[in-house]
Order: sequence, then structure tokens, then C-alpha cells
Amino acid sequence: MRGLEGRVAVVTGGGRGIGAAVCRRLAEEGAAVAVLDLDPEPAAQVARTLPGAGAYAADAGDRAEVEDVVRRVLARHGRIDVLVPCAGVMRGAPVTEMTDQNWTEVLTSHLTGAFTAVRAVTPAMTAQGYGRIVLISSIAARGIAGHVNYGTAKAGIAGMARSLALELGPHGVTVNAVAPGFIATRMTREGAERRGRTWEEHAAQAAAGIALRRIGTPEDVAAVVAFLAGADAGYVTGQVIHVSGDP
Amino acid sequence: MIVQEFHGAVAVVTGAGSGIGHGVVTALAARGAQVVAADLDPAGLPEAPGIRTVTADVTSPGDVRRVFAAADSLGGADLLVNAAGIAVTRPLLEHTDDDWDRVLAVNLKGSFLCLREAARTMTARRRGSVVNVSSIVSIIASPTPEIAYDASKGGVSQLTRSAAAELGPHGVRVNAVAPGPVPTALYGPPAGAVARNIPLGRLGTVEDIVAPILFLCSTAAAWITGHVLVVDGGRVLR
Ligand SMILES: NC(=O)c1ccc[n+]([C@@H]2O[C@H](COP(=O)([O-])OP(=O)(O)OC[C@H]3O[C@@H](n4cnc5c(N)ncnc54)[C@H](O)[C@@H]3O)[C@@H](O)[C@H]2O)c1
Ligand SMILES: NC(=O)c1ccc[n+]([C@@H]2O[C@H](COP(=O)([O-])OP(=O)(O)OC[C@H]3O[C@@H](n4cnc5c(N)ncnc54)[C@H](O)[C@@H]3O)[C@@H](O)[C@H]2O)c1
Repeated sequence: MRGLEGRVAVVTGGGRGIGAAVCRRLAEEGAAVAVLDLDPEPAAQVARTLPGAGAYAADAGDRAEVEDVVRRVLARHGRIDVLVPCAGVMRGAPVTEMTDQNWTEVLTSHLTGAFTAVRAVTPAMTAQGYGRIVLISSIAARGIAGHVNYGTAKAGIAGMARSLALELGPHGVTVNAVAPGFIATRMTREGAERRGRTWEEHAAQAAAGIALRRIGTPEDVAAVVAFLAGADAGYVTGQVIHVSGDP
Repeated sequence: MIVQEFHGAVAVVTGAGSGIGHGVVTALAARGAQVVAADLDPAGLPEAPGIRTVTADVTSPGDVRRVFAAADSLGGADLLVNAAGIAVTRPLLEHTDDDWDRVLAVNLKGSFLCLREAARTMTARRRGSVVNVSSIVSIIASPTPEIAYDASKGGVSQLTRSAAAELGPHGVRVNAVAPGPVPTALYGPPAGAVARNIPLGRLGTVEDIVAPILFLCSTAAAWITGHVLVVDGGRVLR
């Protein structure tokens, strides 16, 4: 039997990058996956290839839209066992040039988005007495120049994991986070463009600074998310696991 | 059916005669690994196909070489789990020099000796995964007085990070688990009180710790190194 057979997972930002890899991995292990993304087309593409999956177009930062998706998932599957909120954008700028909009877009998509999804699925998880929430932080939580909005949001995610682990542990719900390092996705490709570098230069420079001497793949992160979503991590809660090829 | 995900891998496990180490040996063997199971006390060493037992003291460089010679005869160690450990529980003022030396020798120097021996083969072959067993008392102050033990585990956690940085470029990963309280020969919990401090509402089991150790050994953790994975039901959050 596969580890997540019979489980139902909700993944936000599931249309691309890390979120899409998480959807594929959870489905491989047997879960029915709800693929939520702002962009309907990539979400539909991911869902089409996965048995039992469904695509849901919604803004992760919008409470009404997220709660509506959760209602539809519960109506279809009757339960939600796993939540992985991956949605979010980067809007870097030096602090004096950072606009309110830059700040709000990043804080809303990552931090409010994760909170909103957690709040929406928690009643189902506590009623079941079982749940696995895996948040996406980043090594940027340690500090990232030129992205105070993002660094703040990702440090907030780590705090969210710890507070929720304390609150939901007694109800059988574990809450952890992964903190990816440099992963090849649209997000990091845009970083190369912003710096006027080719992707190859950008990736090679990043790899040189990583102990394992390579950049990460969305699958590297998805494998760790799947561990935290499964039975093997039943006694792990409130943790932030660094998936960065580096101490 | 258990997936034979470690088929073809050679593993060295210390402290294999009891508790967490014993659990790691049986789980790795069940998943297809060939395991060299080492312990100072041979009495509890598991006997099964795929398991080679070695009586060895991890504080002795000669014994450690013998353990890895056994692994070499199987093709060389791909995995090392450092689970040998001892604890001395008594107030700081009553800790003897010998208490300090013994605990540091087994928990910290023993982990280093095995790591160094493993690293010879692993760096040469550019692959390998080491998992040390630290403890949550490397992060929080222990509720019981065990100053040498806590210091040794702080050392194990930092040994893990520094070794990961140094061995990463050679393709070798080094991680640790930091368990909370798990009833074993090493730790007999005072009844009741402990579980109340744990958000998940129960003490750990050997299986709770073994599964994350196997995860860190596996390719699912291919891009994790230098991480000290706390497995404690949320205890350190309290
Ligand atoms: N790529 C990296 O190096 C890296 C490193 C650390 C953390 N992360 C984190 O991983 C997560 C995924 O990032 P990625 O690199 O895969 O990015 P990505 O840009 O490839 O994918 C993000 C997906 O989220 C969707 N999305 C964005 N805002 C949304 C919103 N408001 N509502 C719904 N969907 C929304 C996008 O449409 C996109 O499909 C993010 O939280 C990111 O911060 C990425
Ligand atoms: N049990 C817990 O609550 C707990 C919590 C955190 C960390 N740990 C750690 O987990 C590891 C395993 O502990 P356990 O709880 O399974 O204890 P255990 O006493 O059941 O097993 C430890 C084993 O190590 C062996 N050993 C001791 N000294 C040795 C030496 N010099 N050379 C070789 N083998 C030696 C012992 O003979 C024993 O078989 C230890 O490092 C311990 O510090 C345990």
C-alpha cells in the first residue's frame, strides 16, 4: 500500500514549480490532490495528469475564494488530510524603493495565503483528529538583502509552523515547514533575468556556494514535503526542515 | 509489502544492540540493506539474514577500524548511523571527571571516530549518508541534571553541521536526528509528568525515531545536509 492512499491533499500554488512537484509526488503516493492556483491553465494541466486530482482557480490571498475551494473539496472527497500552501510571488526592491504594493503582494500571497488556507482546513482536520500541514518557508528567513518583504514573510511562516504545532498538536494535527534553498523554478529564473544573467550563469554561481555543489529541483523539495505529510513523520511537529543542499 | 529502498546499500549502525540503534538495524535490513551492527554489548545484537554483528567499543579507534573493515568486505559503507550512547544523570557538583570523560568519549568522540572512518570510503566514492543521533537537550536545557550528556549532544549537533559543510563537496551528506524522550534502556521516564509537556500528547517510540533516520539516509533527503531534525512531538516548543 502506498503511504498516502485514501488521503486528500490541498496544494496552493500547485500549477507550477515546487507546488506542481508536490502535487505529483503526493499523487504518486496515493493522495487525491486539489490543485489550487491563481492561473487556471497550469493548474488544470497538472490536475489532468494525476488520478483523482482536481484543479481549482483561486487567489490564495482571498479568504472567500479559498474557503469556497475548501468547501468544494470537502463536498467531493469528504475530508482533507494534507495542506501544502506553496502560492506566492517575489517583488524585490531596496527598502527605500519598496512600494506598499510590493510589500502587500508578498505578505498577502505567502503569509496571509498560508494562514487563510490553514484556517479554512483546520475544522475538517481537528474533526477527523488527523491532519498534516506542511508550510513553505525559505532559507531567506535567515535574511535576504533586497527582499525585506519576502524575508519577513518566510520568517513569519516559521513562526506560524511553531505556533500552530502547539495549538493543533493535541488534535492530532502536525504542522511543519520546509525551507528550500535555491530551486530551479520560474521564481529563480525571474531572479536571473532581473540580474541580467543567463540562467546557466545564475545557477552555476548559486551551485558554487552550496555544500552539495548543485542547485535543487522541485522534486527535491517535494520528497521532503511527502515525508512530512506521511506516517514516517508522525512524531515530527513544529519543525522547519532545510532543503538547501547546505547546513 | 515493505519497499526494498535500501537494496544493495551497506550500512554501519552503532549502538545496534538496544533501543534506537536496534530499531534502525532491523528496519534497514527489512528494506534490503546489508547491515554491520556494532555494539559494546553483543547480547542484544539482532541476528538475521543481511545483518553482520560486530562487538566493538566506539571509543576505540582500533575497534572502529574493525567495524568498517567488516563493511569494506561487503563493498564499503554507504550509510552510517551513530546511535551508540550513554547518559549519566546526577547533579553537576557530583559529576566526576570520569563521568565527563566517559560520556564525551562515547557520545561525541565515538561519533567522530566512526564519521572519520566512514568518510574515507564515502569521499573516495563520492557518495554516502551519515545520520548522528543527537537529542533535544542539545537545544533546550534538560529537566534532569545530566551536564556531560547535554554538552556531548550539543557537540554532536555541531559536528553534524561542520562535517556537512566539509564533506558536501565530496558528495557526502551528514545529518542528525534530535529525539525527545523515548523509553529505552537509556531513558526510563518518570511516570505521567513528561507526556503533559508534549503537544502531541505522548512520549516517543523507537519507531517514531527510526523512520526519520531512514528518511535522512534515503534519496528522499538527497538535498538535505547539515540538518538536525528534531523528532519530539513538539516538546522543544514548550
Ligand atoms: N524557487 C526557489 O528557489 C524557492 C526557494 C525557497 C522557497 N520557495 C517557495 O516555494 C513556493 C513555490 O515557489 P516556486 O519557486 O515554485 O514559484 P513559481 O513561481 O514557480 O510557482 C508559484 C505558483 O504559485 C502561483 N501563485 C502565485 N501567487 C498566487 C496566489 N496569490 N494565489 C494562488 N496561486 C498563486 C503561481 O501562479 C505559480 O503557479 C513559494 O512559497 C516560494 O516562496 C521557492
Ligand atoms: N532514549 C531517549 O530518550 C533518547 C533521547 C534522545 C537521544 N537519545 C540517543 O539515542 C541513542 C540511542 O539511545 P537509546 O535510547 O536507544 O539507548 P540504549 O541504551 O537502548 O542503546 C544504546 C546502545 O549503545 C551501546 N553502547 C554504549 N556504549 C557503547 C560503546 N562505547 N560502543 C558501542 N556501543 C555502545 C549500548 O550497549 C546500547 O546497546 C543515544 O545516542 C542516545 O543518547 C536517546
